[in-house]
Amino acid sequence: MSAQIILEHLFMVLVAGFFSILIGIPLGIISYQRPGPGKVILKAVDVLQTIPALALLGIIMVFAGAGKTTVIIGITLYSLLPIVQNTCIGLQQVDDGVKDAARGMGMSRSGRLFRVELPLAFPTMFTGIRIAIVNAIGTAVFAAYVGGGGIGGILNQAIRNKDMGTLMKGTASLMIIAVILDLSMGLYEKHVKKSHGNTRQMVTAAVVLGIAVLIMIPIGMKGNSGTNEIVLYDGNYSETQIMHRMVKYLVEDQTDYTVTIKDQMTQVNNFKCMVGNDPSCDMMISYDGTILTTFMHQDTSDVPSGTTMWKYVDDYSRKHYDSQLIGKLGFDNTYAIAVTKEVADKYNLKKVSDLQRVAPQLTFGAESEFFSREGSMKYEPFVKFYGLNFKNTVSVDTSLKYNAIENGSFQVTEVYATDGLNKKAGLVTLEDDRHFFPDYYGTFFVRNDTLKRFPELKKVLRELNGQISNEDMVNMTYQVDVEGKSVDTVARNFLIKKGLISK
Amino acid sequence: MIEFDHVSKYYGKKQVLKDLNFTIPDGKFVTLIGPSGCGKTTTLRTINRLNDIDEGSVRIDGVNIMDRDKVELRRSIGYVIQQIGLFPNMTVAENISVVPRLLKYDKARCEKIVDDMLAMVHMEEYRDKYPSEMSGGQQQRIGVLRALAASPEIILMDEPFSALDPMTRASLQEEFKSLQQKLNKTIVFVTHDMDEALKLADIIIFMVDGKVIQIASPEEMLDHPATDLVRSFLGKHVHDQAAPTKVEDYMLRNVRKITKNRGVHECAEMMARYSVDTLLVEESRNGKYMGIVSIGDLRKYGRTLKTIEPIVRDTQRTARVGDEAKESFDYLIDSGAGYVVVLDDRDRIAGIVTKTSVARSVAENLWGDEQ
Amino acid sequence: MRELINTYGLALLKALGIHTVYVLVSVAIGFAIGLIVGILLSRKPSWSTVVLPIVSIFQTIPGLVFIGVLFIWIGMKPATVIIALSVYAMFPVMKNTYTGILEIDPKYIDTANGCGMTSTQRLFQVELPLAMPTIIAGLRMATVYTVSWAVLAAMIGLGGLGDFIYQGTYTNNNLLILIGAIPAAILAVVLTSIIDLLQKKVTPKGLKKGGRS
Repeated sequence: MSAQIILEHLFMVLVAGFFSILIGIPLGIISYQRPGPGKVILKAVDVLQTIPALALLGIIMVFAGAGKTTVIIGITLYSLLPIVQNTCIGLQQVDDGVKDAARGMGMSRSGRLFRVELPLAFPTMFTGIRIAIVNAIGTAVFAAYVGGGGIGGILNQAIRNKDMGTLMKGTASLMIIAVILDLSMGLYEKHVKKSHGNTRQMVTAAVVLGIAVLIMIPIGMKGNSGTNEIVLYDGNYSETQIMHRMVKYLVEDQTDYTVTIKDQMTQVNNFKCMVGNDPSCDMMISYDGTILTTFMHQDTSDVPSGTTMWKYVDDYSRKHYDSQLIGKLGFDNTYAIAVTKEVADKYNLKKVSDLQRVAPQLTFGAESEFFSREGSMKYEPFVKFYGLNFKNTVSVDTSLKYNAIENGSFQVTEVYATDGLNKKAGLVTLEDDRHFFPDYYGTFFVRNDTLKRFPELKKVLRELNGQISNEDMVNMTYQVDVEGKSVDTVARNFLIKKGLISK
Repeated sequence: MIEFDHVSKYYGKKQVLKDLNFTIPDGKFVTLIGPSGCGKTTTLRTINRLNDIDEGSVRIDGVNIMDRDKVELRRSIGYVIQQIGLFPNMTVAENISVVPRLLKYDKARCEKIVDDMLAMVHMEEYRDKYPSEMSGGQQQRIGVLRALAASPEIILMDEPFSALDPMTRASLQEEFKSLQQKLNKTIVFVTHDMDEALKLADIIIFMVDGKVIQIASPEEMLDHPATDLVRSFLGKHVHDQAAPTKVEDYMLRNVRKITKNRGVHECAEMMARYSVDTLLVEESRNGKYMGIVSIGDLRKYGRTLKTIEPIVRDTQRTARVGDEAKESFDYLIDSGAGYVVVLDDRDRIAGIVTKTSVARSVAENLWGDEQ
Repeated sequence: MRELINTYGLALLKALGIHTVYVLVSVAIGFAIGLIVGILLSRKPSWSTVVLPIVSIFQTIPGLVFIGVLFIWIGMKPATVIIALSVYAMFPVMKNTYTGILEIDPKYIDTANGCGMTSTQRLFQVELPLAMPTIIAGLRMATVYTVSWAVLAAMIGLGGLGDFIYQGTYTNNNLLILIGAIPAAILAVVLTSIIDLLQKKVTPKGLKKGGRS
């Protein structure tokens, strides 16, 4: 975990904090001065707070695109509640006598506000700001879902790999950031209290902080542009990470192009970043089946007979996404049904249809995606197809699926065929003997204009055609997720072994 | 009987009470007085063990208070503070019956106590009000009632009237003095106001820097002040030819006035704003003094009235600018009235003279604007 | 719309029910613990200089990590969610109880002592009633946060409205996100409205008029 990542995290928190203060305090003042609209404002920030971070960031990304901007907007919105609420309460709590006296001295409304009420409400307001900033440190963890970087990505992966060491390190860094920020804010507060609400001092400090943040913005946002490089996002799975690095090494080895891998994000968000109005990346690794179902919202049954899914998706992408598929890399990361070794031995399970007998005694678990009601490669159609009747079903976050099966929360699950953790968890994959799951061929999804700008790219990517078998992929992800090797090493070693790049 | 026996107390290294030895006899009104920081409040608070002492002993009726349960001790002693401290979450009745309820008196007995107490100060109609709905003077009346409610033999009062405006203070002092004469309690009363001490006390204990300088009756103290400091505190009461003698020299000019054609609501609002229970009323045309309006009358009759004119009461006696102050003082002392209204040559309100205002102006004459 | 109700109606109701149960149980536990700890701290303010910073540090552990780690230890049981949410709900209640009690004007403490209240009597008759508005504000904050955090239950397969939100984010389906997020927001609004009513009830009458005493 590098200092860079911690700084990124801090950056998002501070910028968002700055903006939430900038917006929150005026809103708080309005809620205090005009109780009518105030009620609406207070309710609105309340409701904002209840929108789960994941959902909020996802929605903002639609407008603001992937990256730190989305995260900063999200955290700013979240931080409003404590700031607005405490500003309003703080102002309300100012002693009526004092307000009266100020009015009696003939102060104007704004004079009263700035010279009497705000200084007196300051401690309460500042408590709100402290709460907001400390909370923001935790919320910024979700940046990893939308390409904002920061400590979140590390934490997600650590949970998935049960890597307690990294998990502790990541959490500890968050705590240290929190403590440092909280302590310095405490010092500031003490200082202001000592100065007895000296407005000028308060404002000076705030302005200095504001300028510091504004200076940080261009620095923190840097690397978002750059036309002479091929931009990819980092994935939140080892498989994506390995493949994107292979692209980087291969392309940089064989051409003069520069390839930049930016912050982590999920497949869905990565896809959105490629096909939106203002695309922020050039290509990604994906699977024909995933593009068909998740992005095109179509089904295997929609693929016309006489054509392959790959071809169909490729045609569709050229037509609708201004992109195309390049290469079939060889591995087929389809869904597979797996059971624990213990269960496999006990019931002598080899094929999915073997499950028919024993399903009523078993619990089936998978990530929530698999239980979605849309599409045919999902739980409902699957059990219908095989005539299975499980005792119970459980949906769980992908990062916790392997933990869950290891601690016995369920016995049967759906996995990606190439996941290295299958091997680690000692899962036995059952043969899809009646061919319910279609193939999910790994392929590159690339924007057309990228291919135009980088004419050699296509040729280089094609070199990987058919080079990576399922077994290769399982081995590589195993090395990363279980043996703890870096994705860079694993990707590079593979290319060297295949003779695709020189050392 | 409260006995202080070689009592000392330290805050860290600083000795704040220095070997106090004195006795407070039953049924006496004793004031502790002295410049600020002299330890008078600390001394008071040792009696109900809100402050603990480091050396010596305090005995009540021969029993060392350290041998008594703190809580039980406090319940047997009434306590009134300057900031009043009525519990804002309780009604007047609940506030008054706090100690009786702590003592687990049955409900009927508590109710009876509340009724009796309120009747004593003619505030029955405030029974279910909350403290925030009353003026400062009314609140402190309830504060005093709360201290009296469980019929304690001893009542401790820490500058109870000093936060009130002069008029209210004067009338509360009168009320309380007569209450004390009726009830015959032992009262220990902290003040920094010599006038108040002279007016109320049977015995004055003068403290400086944690030590007792003089213990004497008011007359004795006036005749033989122990030190120059005591003498300066006594101020105008010690004969001094140079002192001004006219009524206007002792007059408080900043009084709350209202014209007779003002509405009942406005009047009530004004009383609440300035925390007073009486306002002086003047004619609307020529500004002549008419009389006073009191919050009691306002409450009793206000609902049926538009303006305050019908409930304006005449006051017995007024003074005129240029009169000798002594006449007014004599009247104040003889009649027990709280104040005298002073008029100018056109019968308009010039100010008021209270016993406290006398002490104030003397202090100003002696020390400039220090106070 | 009808199709939507047919497809998701029952599941949504069930998820909303589960979500509500998580929130109510966790907030209740968190409130009880927070209140008790806050009171204990207010009895010994010197402890708070140690306890409060530690607590606020722990508060920065992201819910994601906390639930994740608890899950690895405890497993897929409602207890995992309840424990995590209760701990988070506890923080604001504890802090507000503590500051609410400490911020009471010393004159009331002084008179309460002077009247001969034991410290328990003082707590129940004076301190808690006067601190109640601040305590309830803490409860309100805890409730709002808990409604939002309960979404994490779906992360470890324990249902609630998070199910929809997770499915929605992973399958690129904004409709599903909204189906989860809107009821969550409504739940929060309803619960906070109830607490606002409660707030009016518990505010001592004498305090409401902003009286100066």
